[in-house]
Amino acid sequence: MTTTVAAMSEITRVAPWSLRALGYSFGVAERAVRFLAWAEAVHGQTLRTLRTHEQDITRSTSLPPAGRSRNGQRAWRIDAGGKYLLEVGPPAIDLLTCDVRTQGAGHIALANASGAGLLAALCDLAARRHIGCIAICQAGESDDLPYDVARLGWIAALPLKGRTLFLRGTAKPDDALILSVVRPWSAPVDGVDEPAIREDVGRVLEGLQGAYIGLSGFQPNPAVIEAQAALGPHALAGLHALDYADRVVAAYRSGVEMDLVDLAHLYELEKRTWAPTSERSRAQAGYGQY
Amino acid sequence: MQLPAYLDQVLASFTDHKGRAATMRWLRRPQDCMTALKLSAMKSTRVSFAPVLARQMIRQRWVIERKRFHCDSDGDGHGIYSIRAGGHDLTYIARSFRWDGIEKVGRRSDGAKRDMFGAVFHQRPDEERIAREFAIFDLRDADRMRTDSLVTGWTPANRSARFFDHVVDCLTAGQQPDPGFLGSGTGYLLRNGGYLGSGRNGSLAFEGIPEGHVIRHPFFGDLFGLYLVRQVSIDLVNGIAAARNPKAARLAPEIARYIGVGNSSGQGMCVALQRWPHWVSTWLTVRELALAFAKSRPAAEDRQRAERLRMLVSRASDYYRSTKLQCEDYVVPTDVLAGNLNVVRHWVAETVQNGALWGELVRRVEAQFDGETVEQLNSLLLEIYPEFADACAGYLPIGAERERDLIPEMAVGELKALLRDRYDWALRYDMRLSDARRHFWYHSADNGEQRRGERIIDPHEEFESFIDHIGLVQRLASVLTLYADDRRVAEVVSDTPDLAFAVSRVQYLADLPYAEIRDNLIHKDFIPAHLIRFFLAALGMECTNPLSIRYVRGVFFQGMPLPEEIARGAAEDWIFPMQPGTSALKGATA
Repeated sequence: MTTTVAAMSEITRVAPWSLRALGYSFGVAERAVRFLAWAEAVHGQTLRTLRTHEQDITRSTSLPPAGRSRNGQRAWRIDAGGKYLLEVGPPAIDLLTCDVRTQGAGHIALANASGAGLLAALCDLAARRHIGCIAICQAGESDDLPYDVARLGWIAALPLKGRTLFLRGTAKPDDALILSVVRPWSAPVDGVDEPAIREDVGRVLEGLQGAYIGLSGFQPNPAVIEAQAALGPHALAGLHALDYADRVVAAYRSGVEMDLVDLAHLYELEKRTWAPTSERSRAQAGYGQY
Repeated sequence: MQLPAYLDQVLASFTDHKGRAATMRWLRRPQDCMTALKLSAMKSTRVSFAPVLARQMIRQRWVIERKRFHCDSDGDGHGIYSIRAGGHDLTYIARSFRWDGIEKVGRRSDGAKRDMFGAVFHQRPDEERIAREFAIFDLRDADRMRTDSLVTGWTPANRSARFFDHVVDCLTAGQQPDPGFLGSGTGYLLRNGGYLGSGRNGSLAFEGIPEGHVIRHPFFGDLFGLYLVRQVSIDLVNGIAAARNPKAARLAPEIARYIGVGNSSGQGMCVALQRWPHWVSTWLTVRELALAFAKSRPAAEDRQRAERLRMLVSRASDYYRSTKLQCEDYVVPTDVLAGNLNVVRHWVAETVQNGALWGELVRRVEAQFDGETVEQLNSLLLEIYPEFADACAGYLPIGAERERDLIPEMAVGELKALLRDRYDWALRYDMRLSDARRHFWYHSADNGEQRRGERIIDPHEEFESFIDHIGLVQRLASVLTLYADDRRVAEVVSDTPDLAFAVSRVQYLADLPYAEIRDNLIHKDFIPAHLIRFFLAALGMECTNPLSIRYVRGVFFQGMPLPEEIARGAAEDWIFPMQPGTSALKGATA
């Protein structure tokens, strides 16, 4: 397949219109594009889903809004009802952020959401807000995932000084391992929600029907952040440190290699939002005395 | 009004407590200067981007060398320029095409149909890479033309045929062109066809420009590209004339310096202003603070500054008198401006004699003349306190980098209070009238050109561009009434994800002065040219001249020193160039 290189700001400039062509409103598209570009830079193959799953995404935009209910003092349950993370993902991180900032920790049980390829991008948002975030995920059967995103797995985004450390377990989710990693990272005053993490692991290992994402958020321990920043990710034995931050920097500097057909489709979608030309339309153009 | 920390420190370093209070008293309120009509009157100042770039080029003595330039008698040619700028190497290449006899106005809908394409490399590419870029230009097909991250942007440009041909004909005949004739067209040969950078066509993203690089500054890449187009226009007329007649004259430096680069812009600029309100805030806060500082100073405190103001007002008057706009609708005619400024020139001395503040001179001008005359004086006042204005300009890249992110834990009651405090003007605006929402803006199938349509009558309303900030805020306020004050913003956004943009906009602008334009852009009577003029003046364009209510022309870098002058060490005082006399120039030959 022929490849090309797209600039990050090319994606962020064109994709809002492409997403609107799929049915998203301005506010949703404008927000989602940041995660789309980030995921393309980090994983690749993310924009491809706009082509391969165009009909599913389009259909999802007209589904009823996601349902939200309290699942505990600092936990929410959200039923996305088949909507994509493009739409329901960022608000889920907002709810998580809110609980962490006001109550020290938070948990989101997000069911029936598609597009798990955006999960790391969403965790990055939490980390940029200086919140530690663990995502335990079982992607939906129909999800078209980038090659380095497991259908069943977990990822941690841990804020360091000025950047984010991403970690991924190399095997199936293991609550003991996850907790051993995140316990020291969380602020001692109000730590991670351990039962919620155990429950998330249990749920995804059960092989339940449909997609499920458990998001745990916590205030990071500043002392550990300092120490880990000095030690680097090599100090974390048994885990796979991901160079996502470096990939994003490289993408801004050199662009993102992708299949030409995917970039062409992004532009093709954008053009669907362009109104057909006509004498009347041309008369509304800038030049001339009208 | 709360200043950003950086500007607060600038002010503190120039004034004591009393001086600070005096400056703050002269700061204009947003409601007094942020309607589209008021913004339209604003002129380029020394804190506009082109003059800021020009000062950097001159102070750092950038070296722009023409390594190769060749064209035939029809203008078909290639040029390569090497640039040493503040310790960084750049390369510029230009491809000019044979004139096809069609005057192109420079709209987005023109696609790749341009008379010239240039590319700025932020490194030194090898010959093979340069050849590849030239081959891309030769495609002349907007859909197939793609570059890579070595290129910061393309600079398409078109001839201003009447003036271009006049200059070529004169030079070919061994004569210099008539500066008066050039001045009648605001003095340019090539017109910018829209900078294609910051990721467009695969070019380098702005964020990818290395930290500390000379063009990692808002609009520096675009504007430096324009300066290079101006140089190509000079080399091109010389080249064509030489190809037609080996004994042709070369453009005299005085006339070459008088030539700027033209620019025409359309409605897309209004959309950008609405999309990036922190840009608007940054530009205006810098400008207004520098202006307030100047206004607060006693005119008699420094005779040299007063004399410089008198000289600049006089020069501006002469400049406007020598300039003839193509269309004088929607603007104060240049001869009126020239006459008004001639009166103001005398008032400068009176202000000094009376021991008044500069702000009182401005008030006198406000009482007597139109808004454009006032703003021209305001612009020149910044010139007589350059040390303060330049210190303020340091905020331009800082303010532009402000990130918009939602504050999800904010209580709904706090957001409501923010709306009441900052958007009372928008909440009171009556959007129910049919004229208030008459227009929607959209992209056209003609290469995505931004156009206006009428609701119900024209198609594609569902894909309208975001420009309706008043409607956005009103809708947010309406939805918030459904939530108790102690609920959190995250819950609102979770229920209505579409509102994330509105919420984060209100939140991230909360402590920024001068951010929101106090006008309804979708109203039937809104004139886009007003905001286009404002944007262009912020960039540093002179003589912003609407040719219609949606399309504005003007000129950049007219009077700016030429590359060889910059390399030698040129003066920074180049605005409002005097029209060169022709008598001494006759017979200047190659």
